[in-house]
Parts: sequence; C-alpha cells; structure tokens
Amino acid sequence: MDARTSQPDTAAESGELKVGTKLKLSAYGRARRRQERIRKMIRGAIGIATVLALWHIMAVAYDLQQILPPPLSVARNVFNTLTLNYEQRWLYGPNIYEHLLSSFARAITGFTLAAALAIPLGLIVGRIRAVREFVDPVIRSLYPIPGIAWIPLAILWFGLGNTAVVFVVFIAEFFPLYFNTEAGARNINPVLVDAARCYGAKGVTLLRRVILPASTPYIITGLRIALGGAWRMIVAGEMLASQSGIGSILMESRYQFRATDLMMAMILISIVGFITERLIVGTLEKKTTERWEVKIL
Amino acid sequence: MKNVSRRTVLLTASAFVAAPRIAQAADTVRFGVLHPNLTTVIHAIAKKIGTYEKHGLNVIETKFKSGQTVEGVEQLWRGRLDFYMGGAPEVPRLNSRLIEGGRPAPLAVVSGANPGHTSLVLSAKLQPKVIDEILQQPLRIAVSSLSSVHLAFFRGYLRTEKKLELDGIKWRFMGIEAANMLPALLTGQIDGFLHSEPTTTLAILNKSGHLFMQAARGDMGPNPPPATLMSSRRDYLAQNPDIAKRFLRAIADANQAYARAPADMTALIAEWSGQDEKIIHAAQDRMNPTTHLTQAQAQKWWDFIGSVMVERGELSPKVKPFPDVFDLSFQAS
Repeated sequence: MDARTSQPDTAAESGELKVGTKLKLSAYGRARRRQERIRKMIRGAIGIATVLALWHIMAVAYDLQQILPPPLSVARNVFNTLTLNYEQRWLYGPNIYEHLLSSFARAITGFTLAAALAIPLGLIVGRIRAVREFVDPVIRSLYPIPGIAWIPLAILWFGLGNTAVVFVVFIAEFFPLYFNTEAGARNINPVLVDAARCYGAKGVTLLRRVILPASTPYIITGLRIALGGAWRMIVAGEMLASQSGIGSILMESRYQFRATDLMMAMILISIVGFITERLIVGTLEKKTTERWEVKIL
Repeated sequence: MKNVSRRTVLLTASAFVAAPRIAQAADTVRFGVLHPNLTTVIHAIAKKIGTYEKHGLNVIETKFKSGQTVEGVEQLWRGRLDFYMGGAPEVPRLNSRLIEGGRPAPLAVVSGANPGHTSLVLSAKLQPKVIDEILQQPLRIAVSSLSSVHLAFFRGYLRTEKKLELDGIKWRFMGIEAANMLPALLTGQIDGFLHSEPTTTLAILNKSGHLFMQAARGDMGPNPPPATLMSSRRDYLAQNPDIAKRFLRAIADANQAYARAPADMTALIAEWSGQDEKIIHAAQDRMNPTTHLTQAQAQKWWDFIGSVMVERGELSPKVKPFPDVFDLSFQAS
C-alpha cells in the first residue's frame, strides 16, 4: 500500500476498516501516481521505438527485407490481415479469426485442464508430507521431459488434431502450475496455520481461509507462467499436429517463403497472449491477491 | 655441403607445401540432399561409382531430412550450398518472393528427376473403380504439407484432366509427415494419401492401403512432369560455369550407370534411402532416379504445376518459367 495514502474513509476512521477496502488517495497521491504512469508509458514507448528503429535500420541498411521485413510492412500486414483486406492471396485456409479461435480454444482447454489438476494436487502435496513422498519423485522424474518431446506420442495416442495439441499444452503447463502451488502450500508460515487451528479452523475451512489465500501469490505466478507457456506450446503443437491455428499459419508461411506473414503470425501470438494473460491472470489476481492483500514475502 | 643441405631443405619444404595443393586440386561442391530419401539416390550412385572424382570434384554433402526441403532451399539461397536436390515448388516460390520485391530471381533449376512419381494410395476400405466415384466423398487425404508437390501435381491433374478445382471436390487435405502417413492410414485417421516412394510401397506391402492412381503409369495424364528439382544459385553458376557443367556431367554418368543395370543398384538404393532391400525391389518398377530435365519437361512442369501455383497466388504472375525458374544450359547434352 502506498505510504502516502492518507485521508482514510469514515469506515477506517471508525476502526471498521475491512480487508480489501480501497483507501482514497490524496490529490498529491493521485498526481504522483499519474506522473508515474506517464513516465512508465514514455519509457516503455521509447524502449519499443528504439527496438523498432533498430529493426528498420537493420532491414533497410543491410538489405534484409526478404528475411527481415521492415516493421512498417509487418504492421501493415497485421492490420490488413485483421481487417481481412489481404495484401497477397491468403493461402492458409480459413480467415485469421478462425485460426486464432482454434488456437485460443486449444490453449485455454489445455491450460484449464492443467490448472484443474495441478492446483489441487500441488496444495495436497504441499501440505501432506506422506502424499509428497509418494507423488514428488514421479512428478520430478517427468518434469525434465520437454513439452515438445510429447508431441510424437500425443499424435500416436490421440491422432492428428485437437486432442493431441491440447494434451501437449496440458502436459507442458501442468508442471509450472504444480511446482508453484506446491511451493506456496509448503511455505505457508506455520504461525498462520497454528493460529487458525487455535480458532478451531480445520479441513475445508483451513484450506479456504488460510492455505488457499496464502498460496495464491504462488498460484498466480504459476498461472502466469503456464498461460505464457500454453501459447508457446500451442504454436509448437499446431506446427506439427494440426491443420488450423496460428502455428499452422507459421509453418505454412515458411513453406511459402513469406517472411511478412511469418512475422504477422508471431505478432498476433504476442498480442493474443498478452490480452489473455491480462484478462485471465490479471482478473484472477485482482480478485484474489489484491483483494486479500497477500504477496510473496 | 652446407649449400646442398639448404637446397634439400628448401625442396623438401616446397614439396610439403605443394602436396596439399595437389591433393586439393579437385573443385569443391557443396551439395544439399534429402536423406534418407529416394529422390536423391542419383547422388549416392555418383558417389559410389566415383563419377564426381572422375570429373575432378570433391562433393561435400549436407543432408536434410525428408520434409525439410524448405530448409535446403533456404541454405542454398543464403550461399551455404552450391546445389540442392529435393522437393520442387520451393525454388519458384522463393524466386517469386524476390521478383515481387523487384529483385532478380536468385535460384535456377538446373536439372530434375521423378524418382518416385506421385501416387494416390487409398485405404483398403475404399475400392472405387474410377476417381469420379470418390471425388464428392468427404475423404481425408494426407499430404506432407499443404504446399506439397504432390498436392500441386494432383491439383494440376484435376484441372487438366477433370476440369475441376480443388474447391470443387469434397476432400480434406491434411498435412502429415510422410512417416506418420502409414500409422494414420492404419488407424483410420485418414482415408488415403498423396505421396511418392517408398511410402506407397510400404503401404501396399503392409496392406494398410492400395495403390489407386500413379502418375508414372499415366493415371494422372500422359508424360507426368518431374517432381524433384536440382537447383543452384545464379551467382554461383555465373562464377563457376565449368564446375557446374562438370557436376551435372557427373550426374549424367550416374544416370547412365543406373540405366545400364538398375537391378544392381537395389542394395545401394536401399542403403541410401534407409529402406529394406525387399521394399526397394518392390518399388523399383515405380521409380526412376535418373536426373535430367529437357526443355519440354520443364515447360510441362510449369503448365501442370507452376501455372496452378500462379493462380493460387503462391507465385507472382510476373514469374516466367524461362528464365525466372529454369536454366538447363549446364546439363550434359
């Protein structure tokens, strides 16, 4: 919380300040926060502009347009593709939105399945030593296998199509989620647990009131890593085992030697990945860690 | 004595300096080939019978896995290879991108082959008498990629012989690596595939499918065009015309050796392609690794495949077969 957040509201003055209650900022605080935001934006914009300028100089000065198209032509291609006003003949089957939707559906399905299994398992393993001793060696022995190594087996098991790609996303994203959750559950301050027990909390109450909130920052970190990873894996999976999705566009544009399409697909992955991370993890973060005011110490 | 000894030392030293130069007299050619693969068997034959050495060439091969033709063409374009053999549509595609950017075409097709003609293999469940019976069925047909030469060839066949476009039939084409085509066919994930040898023979031998159409026997129109092209960089050809001619002469000698005794080459082909000798023996009727391209064959390739690629938007309409794609002047007559 900002040290300069003064002028608490009436509830706070009356000593009824509840967890999660937002304190109003002073005019100075608001101005300061606005200034910081503008400074951050300017610095970010300068960073991005520098990279774009270097990219443009490299492409033009070294005559690399065929392998490194200048940023403006890539941006134009992204815009034209999103408005379905293609510069060149579209060679990748359905329009870009259908490809993005396919990739999104696969990424979210794999990610959700991984979260649904890894978070409860991580909490159990983190809190119950006996389970940890059984489960941990199994998971640690599978962990070093890279997600991409599962692709041939996934094709063999599930055939070519959605299931194989979803499986690969699931298996690759399970581990960051599991390890983060397990670390969060294991590292809870025992004083918190003991205090809750003294007040009679046990079982589901203890889990809901203490273990889950205390592990949440770790779980959120795991979710953030896993969602980014899901987009990385989806592209790898679609390049090898799917006929649709943004990964298949990447692969096909390479066969066509269309570097601008290749970079367009990469930029769209970055945009969609950023938006999904903001929407899913950002929302979850607001509803949990920020509300409960818990953080990794 | 002192003088003589100094002279001896100098002579000996100069001999040591000269010796490696004499050994390196052969010109080095960096050749990219698909391996293990049947399309590049002619290189294995040339190596085995020593035609490269005969023409004073030291050929350094770079192997690319099946399906990596795009990598090979990229390496050729970037100057890391002098010749590349494999695939077919990638070279005109790359030239087209450069021509669209207002530059000259960087690569030239200098020769070609059709070692394992395009085959349409269908699952054992499907037993049509003629192709018209299945064109409107929702079949899942595997191709190595949606840019596959076999798909381009089939598109050319449909257009030329059936007056149909791919959109006019109900088949769904799925990009699957050649190695995965047989398991996919066996497990019913696909209804057939368009590919060449030895995938076709493997499917026949393990009874996962049957050969329904084959370009070599005229099922897809008379005189099928080549499916494998040998390419080089134009700047390399301009700087080293003699080496290029000698290289293609060595390939021509290997052609003759194969034509003289194809059966004697079975073991070598099996070794190079990583297949069992029995499979190669069974496939040999359907393949011909000799590599030579006439002007008429090149034109046929363009009419059958290249023009369809132009219409599909893969190639710019500015691209012309001669001189933008083919330069057959280095081949041995």
